[in-house]
Amino acid sequence: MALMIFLGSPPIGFDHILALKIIMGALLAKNSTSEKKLSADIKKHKVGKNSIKKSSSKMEFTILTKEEVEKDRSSAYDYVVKA
Amino acid sequence: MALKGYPYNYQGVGKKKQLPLLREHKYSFKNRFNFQYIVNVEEYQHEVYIVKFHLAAHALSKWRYCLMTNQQDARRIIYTCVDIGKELHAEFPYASFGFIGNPTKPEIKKKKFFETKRYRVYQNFAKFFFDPELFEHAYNTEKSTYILLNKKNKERHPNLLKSIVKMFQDHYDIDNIYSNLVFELSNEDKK
Repeated sequence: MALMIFLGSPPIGFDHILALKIIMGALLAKNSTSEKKLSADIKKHKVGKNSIKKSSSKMEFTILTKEEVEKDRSSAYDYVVKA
Repeated sequence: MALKGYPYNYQGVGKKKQLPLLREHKYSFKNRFNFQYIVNVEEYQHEVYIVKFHLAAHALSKWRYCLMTNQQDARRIIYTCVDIGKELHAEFPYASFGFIGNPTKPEIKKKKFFETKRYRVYQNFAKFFFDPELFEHAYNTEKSTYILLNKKNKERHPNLLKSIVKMFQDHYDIDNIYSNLVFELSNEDKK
């Protein structure tokens, strides 16, 4: 009988709410640790983030003059047509 | 030899995307070895179209834009992409274009995105097919990036190139793409 009470119902004075809080707290802490680990991984390797994000490096573009393009076009012919 | 691409089909437009990417147009074609290719044309603000292509079989691979097929058929495949670009230009006369020459796996280890093999090849096609009277040619060798700036649109917006570069600088991080690929590579090496 005593064993049944022990298994079937919690001891007298058992605080269900407190128990629930402890369990939830432990789960949340576990999740938060994995989240921290993941964000550290993301920071380190930038994993899983969409490629659309702010770039830290500046992109400089060189503009070709019309004459430069025309000149390169004749050498491009070898790649584009002859090769 | 005729400068002709493969016949292609328009597959439609994808759902609305996050700005500055407006939408994605999808095309497909088969090459002479009966391999299916997918061409994704990303439409950005400022009427910028970025043309990308990959083998349909590689659609789920993170390396889809980096893999080589070694079929010696690149030229006609690129012609097809040029044809798609020209069709878009005919439909949208203010369209500017751009591409990134993605590195191959061996290249990425050695030189990141710096002057890749694809970039060297593609820029020849850009110069050959896109008239400098209509397009301003701008490049960044370090990131293997090339922009064909529509001069007609530049007349309306004198700071067009600046706006486009800023848009990509703010929203399209090549360093991040590189980091993702390197991470994948290190995972593959571990296996």
